[in-house]
Amino acid sequence: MIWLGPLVAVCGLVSYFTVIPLYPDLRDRALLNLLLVCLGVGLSIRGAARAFSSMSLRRTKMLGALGAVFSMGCAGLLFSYVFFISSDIPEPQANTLAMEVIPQITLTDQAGNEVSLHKRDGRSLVLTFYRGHW
Amino acid sequence: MQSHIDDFESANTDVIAICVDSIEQNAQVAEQHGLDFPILSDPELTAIDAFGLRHVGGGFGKDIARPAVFVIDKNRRILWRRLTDNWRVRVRPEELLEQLGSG
Repeated sequence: MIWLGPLVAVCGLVSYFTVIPLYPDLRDRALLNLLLVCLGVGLSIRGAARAFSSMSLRRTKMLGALGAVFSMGCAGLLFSYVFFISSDIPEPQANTLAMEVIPQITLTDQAGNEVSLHKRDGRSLVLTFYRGHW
Repeated sequence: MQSHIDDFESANTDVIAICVDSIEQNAQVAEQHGLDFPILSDPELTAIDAFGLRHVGGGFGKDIARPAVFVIDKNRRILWRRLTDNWRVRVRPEELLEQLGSG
């Protein structure tokens, strides 16, 4: 079953960005998905090895090899994202860490309303900055 | 945040998000994810720079905000802040509610 390894690997990769965000603990640690892509690579290599060691068709051997490469690509992408890409963030600036009072700023929300951060009207505020979708 | 919006309301707290996306993009995101709280558009990085959160080239060459969360009291004072070193790991609403309860 030379298709099983690539299938597991791509599921491990894709689910991390589609399904797993619904489960913060799984998203934060990424362990489940990292294990899935590794399993996919293992199954792919085994599938390819079997194809090459048996009297399989040349096409089967080629598919086995491509499947293994594909799985390794999926694993590489996920490992890169988890361990390198997602931590590519600038160090906090000193003024951000030392800021005591928020500045007076007014921006526009998704409904076209002007919202002033500094107008609290007796309410607290959770203010989150995120990267966006560009 | 949306899943705990009632808890934030009970804590007399607004939830506001800011990013560089356009108003239209933010409207799409809000509708897609069922978000009730304001998502402010900051394409000029005015607020992002005021808070010192610019990530130069962080968005495929485009300057964007580095992720950060602040808990602010009614007098505009920052009670708590989290500047993550990994954008996959997000602040849990429960943690924020705990800060609001102790603030």
